[in-house]
Amino acid sequence: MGLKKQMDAEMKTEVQQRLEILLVEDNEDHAYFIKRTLNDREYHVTRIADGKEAFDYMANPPYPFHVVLLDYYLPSMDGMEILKKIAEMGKDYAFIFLTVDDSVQTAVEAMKAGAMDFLPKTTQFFDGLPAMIEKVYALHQVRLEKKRLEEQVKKSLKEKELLLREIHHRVKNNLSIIHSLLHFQAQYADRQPVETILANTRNRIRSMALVHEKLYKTQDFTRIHLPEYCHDLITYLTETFHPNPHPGGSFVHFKTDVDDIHLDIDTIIPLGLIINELVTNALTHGFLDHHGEATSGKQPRPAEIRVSIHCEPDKPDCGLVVSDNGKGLPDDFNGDRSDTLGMFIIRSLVEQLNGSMNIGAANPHGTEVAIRFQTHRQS
Amino acid sequence: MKNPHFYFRVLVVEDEILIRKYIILLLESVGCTVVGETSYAEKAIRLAREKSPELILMDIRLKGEMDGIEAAREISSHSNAAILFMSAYDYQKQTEVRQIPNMLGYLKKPVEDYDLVTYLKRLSVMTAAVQKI
Repeated sequence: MGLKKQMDAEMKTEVQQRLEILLVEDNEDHAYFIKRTLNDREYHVTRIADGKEAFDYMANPPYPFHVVLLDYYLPSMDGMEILKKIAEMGKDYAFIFLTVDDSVQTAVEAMKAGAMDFLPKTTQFFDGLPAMIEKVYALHQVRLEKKRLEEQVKKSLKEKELLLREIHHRVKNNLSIIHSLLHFQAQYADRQPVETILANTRNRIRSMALVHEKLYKTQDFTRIHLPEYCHDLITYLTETFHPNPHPGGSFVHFKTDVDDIHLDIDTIIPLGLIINELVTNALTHGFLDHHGEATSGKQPRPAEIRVSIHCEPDKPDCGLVVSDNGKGLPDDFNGDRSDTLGMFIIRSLVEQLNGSMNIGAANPHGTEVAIRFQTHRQS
Repeated sequence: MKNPHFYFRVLVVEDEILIRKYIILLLESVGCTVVGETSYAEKAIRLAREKSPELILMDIRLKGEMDGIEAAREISSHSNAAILFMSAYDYQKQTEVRQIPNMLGYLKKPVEDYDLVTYLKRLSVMTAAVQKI
């Protein structure tokens, strides 16, 4: 035997060995002939003689099978009825319909009821049976694959619809938050110059817009990479409060130490707004004088703001610390009573995250704000 | 705000705290007393029992297992408080909302003061009518 021939034979055997045939045939002689025809193909044939028994077997198969050879005339339930009932159950099997009756009408009826092919039981037709089984098997596999892909497309479409609805809701919700913020801002309008009010408002909106910008770049539109978000947020803020730009960069040096995690939008929106307020406070109260000029030039030490976020592994508990080495808190400062809009926003959002806040002096200089909060983290 | 004053006792159920604080500000500016506030449906049900509010502002999406409609259904079974729903985008739930017995109306978010006042006026008229009977 040549090598190619041998390989072909081996491959053929592999395919044949895989096929499980369910033979539903009551006539002993016919069953014997069919089995003999299939003998050299090494299929595994399971035979059932009774119609009702065959239906029960197919309704709830104890073993998987690939192709069903189904006789027309059977005791207790005939082949045509089995085809119809199996179709009603929504099951999809590869049926070859066998009958001594070779009328076109029977063939058409069987095909309409779900058979994939039709074989009259005459000697010369049996010779064609193995080829027919392989053809039906192949066609059936294609049909199953097509169905599977259709299901996948439907599922994906449904997921996209849900996602679209969810994002739409988020956007409207965030616009509602901005709407509320503007209302609060109006209550505090007489305390600050209008330029400052508008700059602060712009920064708040941008901390939220940045979430959507980052979301858009992700695969699943649901989670944000925290270190990247913090980096961008702080970069924006530094540029906003850049009173005397040095050629070498900002007048304040930032040190960030943020865990490499992803957060969902429900956490990142309030957290982003909190970081925005805390860094703004550090930049303005820590290092600017009453005229908005940087005080760092008059200080013996380089101005520095530290932002750290650490989360406990496998727990929702996280800690945010924002500290500066600026001029520190005024002696009469009380975080719980402080009635600036920034502090009001921070207190509200700490509550939103089921958190707590502690404001104190940083060591050796400046201010430190530590916030514990809970997150719906996604690894 | 130059609006007429209403003296309702109100419970505010909303899980966005900034939005909740804003709504409380609106309510207080027209004379209402906020007797309770929460982000959770379960707590709303408890507060509705304990504080016996006359009006409940109820967001549809909430933290926790239950949503605002389920909470409202539960509250309606033991309280006469009028329920004013709020939502940014839940038109598909409008039918469900209308079936709540004590529903006063549906406020679209962002909530505007004149919308809120319209419903407060309606509630005043209804309350006065009930008292006459």
